[in-house]
Amino acid sequence: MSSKRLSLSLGTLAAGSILLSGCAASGASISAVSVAAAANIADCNPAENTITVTYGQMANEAMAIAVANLQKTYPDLTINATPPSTSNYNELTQTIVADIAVGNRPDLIMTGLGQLQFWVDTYSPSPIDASVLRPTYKTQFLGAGTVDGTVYLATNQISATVLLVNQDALDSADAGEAKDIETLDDLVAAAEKVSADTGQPSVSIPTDGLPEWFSQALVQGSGETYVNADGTAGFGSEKAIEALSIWPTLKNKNLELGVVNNQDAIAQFIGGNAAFLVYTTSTIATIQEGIGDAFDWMPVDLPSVGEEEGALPAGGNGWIVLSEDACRAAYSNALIAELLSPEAVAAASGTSYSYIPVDTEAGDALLASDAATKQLTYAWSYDKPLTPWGGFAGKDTMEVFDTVRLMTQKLQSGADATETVNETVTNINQIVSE
Amino acid sequence: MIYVFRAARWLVISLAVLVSLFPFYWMLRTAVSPADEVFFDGISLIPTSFDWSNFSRAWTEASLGQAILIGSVMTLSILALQLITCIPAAYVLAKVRMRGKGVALAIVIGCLLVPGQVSLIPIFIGINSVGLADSLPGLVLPYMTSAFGIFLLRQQMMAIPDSLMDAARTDGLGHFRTLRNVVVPMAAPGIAAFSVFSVFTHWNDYMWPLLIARSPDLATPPLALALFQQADAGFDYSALAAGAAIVTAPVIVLFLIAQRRFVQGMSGAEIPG
Repeated sequence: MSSKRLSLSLGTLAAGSILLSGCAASGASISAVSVAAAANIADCNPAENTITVTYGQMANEAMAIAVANLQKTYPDLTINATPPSTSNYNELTQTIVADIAVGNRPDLIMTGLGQLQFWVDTYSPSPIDASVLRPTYKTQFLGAGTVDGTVYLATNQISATVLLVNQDALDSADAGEAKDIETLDDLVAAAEKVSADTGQPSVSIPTDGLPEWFSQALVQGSGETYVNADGTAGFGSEKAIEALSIWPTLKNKNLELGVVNNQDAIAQFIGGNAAFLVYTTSTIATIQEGIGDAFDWMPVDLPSVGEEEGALPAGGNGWIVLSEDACRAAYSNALIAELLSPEAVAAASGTSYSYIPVDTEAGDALLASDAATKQLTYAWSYDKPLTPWGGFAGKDTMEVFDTVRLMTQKLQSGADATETVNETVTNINQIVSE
Repeated sequence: MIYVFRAARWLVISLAVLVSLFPFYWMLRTAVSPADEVFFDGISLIPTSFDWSNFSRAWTEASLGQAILIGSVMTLSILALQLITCIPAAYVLAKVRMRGKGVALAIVIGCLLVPGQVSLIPIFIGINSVGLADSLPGLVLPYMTSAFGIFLLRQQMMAIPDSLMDAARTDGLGHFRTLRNVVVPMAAPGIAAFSVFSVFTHWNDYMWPLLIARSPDLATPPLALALFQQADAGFDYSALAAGAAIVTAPVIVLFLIAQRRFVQGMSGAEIPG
């Protein structure tokens, strides 16, 4: 072979390599597919159907139970249910959206409750068939999966914002009992005593992973509106600002640790450096394992402004039917029913995760078990109404959440609450009006 | 006076080594600590008790054996394909006279400037459209060549004297044999350095496997470890650190083996003549 030919071959290889090294892009189109209403399941042939389920690893145990139970009823039905290796709801949503973009639309998905509006606005999921749910299902939690009066999401592993308190630190500072902290003023007063005792800040309300959830909980817990009915920000009221001013109040009194990251904040609480941590009931089990017998601690209701008690936003996840086939939608609803059976709910809420059980029978079984410590009992017996997380238009969800995160981080660093909150409300209203 | 300088130099080096190794030590310390000791005794360098079960828990719960196998096959396949494509490409750009070489080089450098995330979705769509999603080839093929590798090796090959190329041609060697018998041995430090980079990058890659590998059987080590870092439930630091120690071990061994070549390649050490 001549040197010219070889040069050409090697040159071609070089050019091919360059193209393959990431400069080339596929022009595959993304087709939109409409969601089907569920058929009458009796009219469907299980042998002709395969349902695909995408979910987070936290539902592994419950899914195994639900799949086994559904296949007892429909032995010929094929169920592809494997969780991608995601570590949070954003990653889970990204993988599902990527699958849909390339035509691999799952029939049933798990989503974080904060992304419900995104799914409803973007993919118009099929309403949940509430008639298939068992009588023991706690229907008050369906509110967290409802948009404009329609239930689009069956709440499954849910959680609420909670204040975790190191009782030993309170005792050492003669700061009273954790259960007596009902208002934000109570929290500040207790934190002042603990900080005076230790000489260090004692409260952590992290502002990185769940800032929009915590701020919504603070506002709604004080009886105020977070998202107006028209989709604009509702937290510009005097009382809402007072609730959100907990961050600068703590900062300016040198009571807040200034930890931004969630996991770092948990570490500070487990390590005994933060006597107070605002977090979620779903981590109680993990925190309990980390603390062991090192000190006495308690979860208590999130304090509010005054003694108001508004419904908090639900955290956690639930199931949405996205199937474009009526029979697969019907089988997806049947699988949801199995996922919400007492046996599956007990597995989903159990000692690994400490979610609030959405089934009374499952809750009773967990509370009667040996694992029911006083901390887990708080999560397993939580029975207050919960609202949807967020509520801003789906297309704006991420931008609004980023704006709120920025607000909470400014507040955490001591910025003036009135100015910062009003500026955020203006910015959000501009985003949602575009 | 010279002893003072030497002592100071060693002090600075020792300090740098300590600072560099401390996170690794802390990972090992966390890996052998019981869960309820991870955050206590915060500044205690040695845990008060050891819990070796973290390793077995990480190994079994995250199926690390399978993940390491998949990660190894993926990483080595990518490396092999990259060497097959990058070495000839670099050789052409460095030593072969041809028209359009400058443009080709500009494209390579241009590719270096494009963040990987930009091309992630188009590649994902492409891989899906050819039916390779959730498969080992789907993990490997998008990385079968590397603009960085082409550029690094081209720079290494530029340092090879042209007189050697002329001598090879005089001896009757064609391009292929020149590449095999002259260029590759002389560019070995650069090839070793690129190999280490490639292995580190793809062994630790999280984003692409997250998008393309859905079956647990295809989970690479970083994906497998995600089991212990569930944002909704809190991190299981003991198992996570034990798992991290397990999956870090192979690349550390690789680095120790390739250390001398790697340093040579990165420092632009003189081409042996």
